[in-house]
Amino acid sequence: MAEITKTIKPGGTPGSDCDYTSISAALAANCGLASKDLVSQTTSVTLNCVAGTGVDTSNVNTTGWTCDSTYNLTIRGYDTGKHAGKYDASKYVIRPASGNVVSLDAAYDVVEDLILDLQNTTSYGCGVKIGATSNLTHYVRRCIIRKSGTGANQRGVDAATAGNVVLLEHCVVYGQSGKALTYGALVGQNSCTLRVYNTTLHNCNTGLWAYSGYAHFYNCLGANCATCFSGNGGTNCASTDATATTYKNITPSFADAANEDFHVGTNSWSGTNITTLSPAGVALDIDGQTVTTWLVGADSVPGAAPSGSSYSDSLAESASSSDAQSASVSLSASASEAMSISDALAAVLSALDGLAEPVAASESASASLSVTASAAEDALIADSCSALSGAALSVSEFGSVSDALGWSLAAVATISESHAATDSSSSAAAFLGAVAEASGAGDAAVSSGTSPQESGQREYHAACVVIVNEFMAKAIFAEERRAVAVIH
Amino acid sequence: MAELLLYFKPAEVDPTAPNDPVRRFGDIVHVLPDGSQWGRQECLDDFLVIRVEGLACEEAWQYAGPLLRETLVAGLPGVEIAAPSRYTLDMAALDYDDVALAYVSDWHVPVVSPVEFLAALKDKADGRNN
Repeated sequence: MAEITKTIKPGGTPGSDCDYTSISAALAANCGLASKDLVSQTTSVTLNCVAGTGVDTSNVNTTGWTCDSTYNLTIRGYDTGKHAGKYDASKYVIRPASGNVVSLDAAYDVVEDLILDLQNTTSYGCGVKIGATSNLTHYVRRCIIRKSGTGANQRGVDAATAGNVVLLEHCVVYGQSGKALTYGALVGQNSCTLRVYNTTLHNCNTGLWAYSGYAHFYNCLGANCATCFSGNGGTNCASTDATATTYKNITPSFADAANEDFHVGTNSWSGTNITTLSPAGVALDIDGQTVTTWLVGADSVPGAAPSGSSYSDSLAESASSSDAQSASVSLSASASEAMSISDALAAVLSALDGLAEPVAASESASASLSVTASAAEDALIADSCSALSGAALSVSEFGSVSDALGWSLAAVATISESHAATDSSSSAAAFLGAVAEASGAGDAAVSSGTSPQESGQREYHAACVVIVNEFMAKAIFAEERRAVAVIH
Repeated sequence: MAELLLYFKPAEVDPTAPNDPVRRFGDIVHVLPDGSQWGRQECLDDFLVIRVEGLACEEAWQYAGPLLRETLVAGLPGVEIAAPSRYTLDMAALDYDDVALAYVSDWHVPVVSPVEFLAALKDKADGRNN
């Protein structure tokens, strides 16, 4: 697997050193490759966008690129071009004269750490527009999507293409004062999925709009919007109006909203651990701080990153899906014990599928469950159950085993880290036994018809903990420290 | 005065199957002020840089935009990019000798007069070169 990196530096300053002066030129030139087919060339491409003397005035459009979950295209703010969580004209800014700022139309394409400035007057123009090709997955992470012009009916993110899955994570989407976005982000096609996690929306007519299709809004913060959430109030989302499901009529303490700084001084709204929801990459907030406690909004580690501690290149590297994929693939390849990692993955996924239904059943009945365990034990069980239940429900969305493996490890690592109960001496057989026991316990609990609340839930949840701990131990045992490090 | 970055990979023999599914020979990809230093890969055989006399950058930017197409999905109006460059230059209409110099002289920038530029300029929106 080859990986190539190109440097983009706008402005054309004499004496500057770069491969291209705009992202569009790099894409037009196939980034120096023979074609735009990354799969057949078994190559991933990363475009590192560094600060120059001006902005990038051309549209970014990934149409024509053939990618998959392993060989994909990543466009990112890098080094001097990477913003610090707020608009900064000295960083890499994409500001085309017309049309959509970014059009994502290649599988698993990634845009991260960039400022997308919608300053033109194109009606219905978008910060990020999902292209016309069906059934693709796209990632937008830690981007600042800003409307600074007077165009009508403009949107931050527009996802309305059949079968597409769009993940918007830790972004800030807003209109400047007097220049409200019509929609911060919308999903508008029956079979399109928009996942918005830890994103702050400010000054939009409608912040997040689930018009049709599938909307999954977690930990989002809507502020100063005529309607913060429409069609879906999200999970653990907050709004300055009453449209969020969880935290209504809140008053966020933005650092300086008038000057486009949406860092928060304090944040008391607990959120969901998004690493357990889907392949969300590593957990870095809008300014690159590692998230350990999940709160609402893009600045989920409140406050600006301390000077000199913005996230390192190693973390930036791990943020790219291509690297995560690489780690996952190598994990599969080096399993040399009696049970391969891919077998382990299959066993885990099978167990998770088996767990989904009874876990859901027992969870639905949990309100009436009388428990005698300690509060700490209950919390541990509930966390694990919630994460694994979400995992099982998401498994069908993965396009490949490596994709699923990468994500499963992330989920497992998160849970394992929380409970710190790995056993490095665990054997493959013990692991398989735990998986089988977990499945059997759940099935028995459900089929007994006696009291799944009492006899099933606790066994099930305990088994979940066993599974994740054993799986984590297996991952370490298979000397995949690099993979685990990447995931962490 | 503006310098234009032109996509300069000729189409294959079959014009319906060009090398690039989205770009056309002569597409205006990007604009910078004259004298700018272009990227080290923004050169032949991928690109040609030309300088247009009397053309301001602010005016040139309008030629570097995409061709847009209105859409209506599930009742929602929108806009998408039909082609990444709306405007293209008919290279046959330019001074061939000056363009040819770019092949033998590193970083030679052909200079095009405003009349020559407008004569070579094609708008894909009119359907003639799309």
